[in-house]
Amino acid sequence: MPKQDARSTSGSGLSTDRHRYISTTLHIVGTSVVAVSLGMLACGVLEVFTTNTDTVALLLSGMGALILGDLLRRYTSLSEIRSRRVFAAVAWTWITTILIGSFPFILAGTFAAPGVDFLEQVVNSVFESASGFSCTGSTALADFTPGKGLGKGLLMYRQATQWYGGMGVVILAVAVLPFLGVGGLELIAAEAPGPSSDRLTPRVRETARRLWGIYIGLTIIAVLALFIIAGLSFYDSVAHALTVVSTGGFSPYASSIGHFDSVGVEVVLIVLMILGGANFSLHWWSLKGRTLLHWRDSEFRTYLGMLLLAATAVVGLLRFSGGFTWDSALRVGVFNVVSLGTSTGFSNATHPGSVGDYVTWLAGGQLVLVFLMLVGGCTGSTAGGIKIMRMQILGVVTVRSLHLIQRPRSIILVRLGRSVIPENVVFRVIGFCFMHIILLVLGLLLVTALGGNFETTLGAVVSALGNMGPALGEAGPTNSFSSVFSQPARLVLASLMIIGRLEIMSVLLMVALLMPKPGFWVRSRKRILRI
Amino acid sequence: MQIDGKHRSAYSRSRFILHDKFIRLSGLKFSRRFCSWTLAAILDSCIVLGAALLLCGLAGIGSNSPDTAIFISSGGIMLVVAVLFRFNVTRPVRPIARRVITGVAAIWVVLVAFGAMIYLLTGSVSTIDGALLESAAGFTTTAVTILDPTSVSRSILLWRAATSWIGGLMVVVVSVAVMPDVLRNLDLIGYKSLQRGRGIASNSRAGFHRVLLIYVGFTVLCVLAYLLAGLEFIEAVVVGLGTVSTGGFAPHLDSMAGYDASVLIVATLVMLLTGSGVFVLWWFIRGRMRSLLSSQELRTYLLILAGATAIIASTGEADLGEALFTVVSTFSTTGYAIVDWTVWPAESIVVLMIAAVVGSMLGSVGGGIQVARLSLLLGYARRELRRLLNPHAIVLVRQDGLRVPEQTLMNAGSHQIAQFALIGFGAIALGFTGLSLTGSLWGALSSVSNLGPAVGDIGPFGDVRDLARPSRALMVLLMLFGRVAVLPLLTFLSFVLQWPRQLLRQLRLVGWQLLRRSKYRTANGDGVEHW
Repeated sequence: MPKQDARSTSGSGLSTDRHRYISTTLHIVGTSVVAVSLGMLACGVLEVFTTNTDTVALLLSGMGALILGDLLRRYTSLSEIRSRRVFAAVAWTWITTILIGSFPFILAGTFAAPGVDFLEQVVNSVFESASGFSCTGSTALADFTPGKGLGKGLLMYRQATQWYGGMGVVILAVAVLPFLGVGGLELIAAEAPGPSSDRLTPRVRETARRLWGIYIGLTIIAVLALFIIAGLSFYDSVAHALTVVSTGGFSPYASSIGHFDSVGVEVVLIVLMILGGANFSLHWWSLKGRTLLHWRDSEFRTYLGMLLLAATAVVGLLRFSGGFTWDSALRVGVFNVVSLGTSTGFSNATHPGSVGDYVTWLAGGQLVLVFLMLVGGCTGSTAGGIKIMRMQILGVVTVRSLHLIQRPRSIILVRLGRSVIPENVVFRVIGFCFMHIILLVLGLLLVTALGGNFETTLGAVVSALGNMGPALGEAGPTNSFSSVFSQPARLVLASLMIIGRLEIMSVLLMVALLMPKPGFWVRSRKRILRI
Repeated sequence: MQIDGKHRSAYSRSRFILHDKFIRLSGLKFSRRFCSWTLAAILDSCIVLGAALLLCGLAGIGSNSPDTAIFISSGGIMLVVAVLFRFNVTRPVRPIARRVITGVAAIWVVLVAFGAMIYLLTGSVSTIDGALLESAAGFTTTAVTILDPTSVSRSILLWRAATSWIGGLMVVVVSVAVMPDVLRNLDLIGYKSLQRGRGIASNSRAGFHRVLLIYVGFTVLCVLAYLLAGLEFIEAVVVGLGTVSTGGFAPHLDSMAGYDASVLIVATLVMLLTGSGVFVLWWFIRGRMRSLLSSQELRTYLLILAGATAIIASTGEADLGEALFTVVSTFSTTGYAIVDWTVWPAESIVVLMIAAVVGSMLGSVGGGIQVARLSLLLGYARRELRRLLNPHAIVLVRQDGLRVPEQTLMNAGSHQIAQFALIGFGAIALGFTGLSLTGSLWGALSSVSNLGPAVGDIGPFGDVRDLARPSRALMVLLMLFGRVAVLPLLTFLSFVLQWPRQLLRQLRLVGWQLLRRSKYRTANGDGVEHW
């Protein structure tokens, strides 16, 4: 990771440092824009050969993004910058990509409908793009009937945004989060067997490449599984593979997985979702050692245990209090628990109000799902939320407090499996959870003030911050967010998605770097006093 | 000889048997004096309970109700038995922190059990879960009730009010006088470090006297104020005890909705002062204006109060008076209501939710995490952010200019996370017992904060007569956990789990004595005299 260069503090000083920062940021932005533009172009080609309604929008924005990204890359350069600026650069990249990624939706008029003005279309497009790139899966689309603005290529592009988001999350987990100490790979590898102590390999680029390999490999496996085992069409297999591996949850159909109404598809997806929500470096080590190592990882065990417990509770509740039959309780209970426990957000409701539509369940079942939304998946995966490992650390710290009441002077290490968690990481984990809660409450306050009801807003905020997708109440799995929340509220939710995706701290750092330096106000005040 | 568990004879194998007086039973010696903080405290509180029962019974004379006799007889029996046993128990001079923590939790359990017995004996509540709920609500100062206050006897009314008064007294005495004195190496949830420099108690005894003085004096003033405002004597006492203790019990089904403006003004003022805690009252008494003005916590308290009132009043659903009353009542976790605030717009509900979770100031009777710990939490979050910007910076978290130690931060942090987790799991469990989604969330939150009324099934006036039995039982647990705080109660439970082992140990001791006896008898003929 770039450290502070000795030269940057000497010589021409701050301006050079700042210049480098801006240049590097723009270079990273350019790279990601080029990557996304390739996706747009590919989907444009797909559009030409299928429905051919949104070809112009896709190709135009693809070309535009390609040229813009290329120019950015050409006139800037990567250089070593201070680590905290890397985090801010990542946040900027994410935001820019989301804005540029919304162009196909705007140009194709995806959200155009009678009585919808241009501003509303733009807000919806940005919301959709933010939801896509942050792997969330909440949608502003109300009407999925094919036609202008909803061609097969454009819908595939919508799926691809999530896949790109997942790529970004992988690089985030490898390169950025370890330095924030808030749970990237600095914890996982200690658990994973093998020679490495900190990351998979010392070099960030190498690690990222390996994890991307896993990611792409999983995607291919997902396509094959959905195509061969579940028997979907090739288009549907690819579309859903892209969003299941990235734990995103977009689907080109209004009723999501409920569109197929097939147990086979759901079972295959359950397995894929569980794999997508697990730590990717576990997959890597298992592949390398040719043995399944997942079970040796305490986080993975907790993850499966949590899913199993939640599924049992929900299925039991649905069967014995909700009046479901055994097979329908099992089917909808397990699918929804896994879908929300891995922060994917697929739904198997065939129509609003059907058994799979969890907003019609008893409150206990819905609250279990809310809890899963908060927790999310494992570290080192594309899942969102607080993450299992942090919850484990919190649990261990609480138990330790109990011991400390009995023996105040004892020194107890926080252990997770075989590894010892350093105290400063424990502090950061607690701090992260506080931040999460504070943001939740602030989001709740803001969105309710902008006119949402309590239950729906609670679900939407938890869902946005945990990159989940569907929420509660009126914003359930079969609903569109655009009809429930006002324009500013949707923008607040979109920014919560980005904040949640970047693990809060990166965004806060970006904001902090935009602020004047701490001494700024003091100095000016002194000056005023002197006068 | 110093009467202390620590100074025991070398032959003593039991920590709390003092070897100065014995009862002989068939050649075996049994100690007549026990040295135990828990036992002494339980007996003390039983004396208070007995006296309160007696007083309630005496007040019921002439009301022609069979309850009077039950109250007087049970109060008399409890008083006599407790006093008699109390002679045989001494309090250790320097009790050990963990025993005090366990003891405090034990007192709460015993109090609730005794209280429930009274309701069952008088027949005012017929089911055991109902009686437990009523008793727990009383002692934990939660404003829910299963009684119909218009139809029960005068003694029961007074008793219900007295339970919350006793519970409130317990809370203040424990948190202000006992805990800071007892905790030496262990700064559990900031009892010690957050109360530095507030100058109410240099030691436990002085603290106890001052707190008692403030609490009783304030109660008398409050009752007098209610009398002046035009309430009848019994009603003034019931409402006065309910206001001072933040119990929120009123002898009407619609809480305070039927009262005059003058009564409401008195109630608002008293709740405001109660919520600001004994420290503020103490500063008032001593005329310490500097402490009042410089208190960071008091400023935050008033700021939140004003902000919340302004937000609620600005929605236009409530006038300023209603908004102020409801905010003060919720923020101090009293729970009186004059309007149905549960139908207010969502942002008002969220504001009230924040107020309920935060609760009142440190050293007050109210529940919640308390303002000082909230600012601790915010300081913690702020510090983590500063550390991201400057990884090697040493950032102190301060309270009133004094540094909060790291251990406290960690303890308070994990404690609050545990409290939030309790709310979450409580909500899920309440959801499983059949409450609605908002209802179970608010029910859990309100019970843990010891507020009482809640949006949804419980309602603004805390009427829980329609709730299912499992829900009621669960609420008892939540109220207790919220009042005693999670960690101490868990410590108590882990002690309870050790009791079978302790019992075995005592039995072994007796066996050992028998063995020794026979041995000595063979050695010098008379046996019993020499050991």
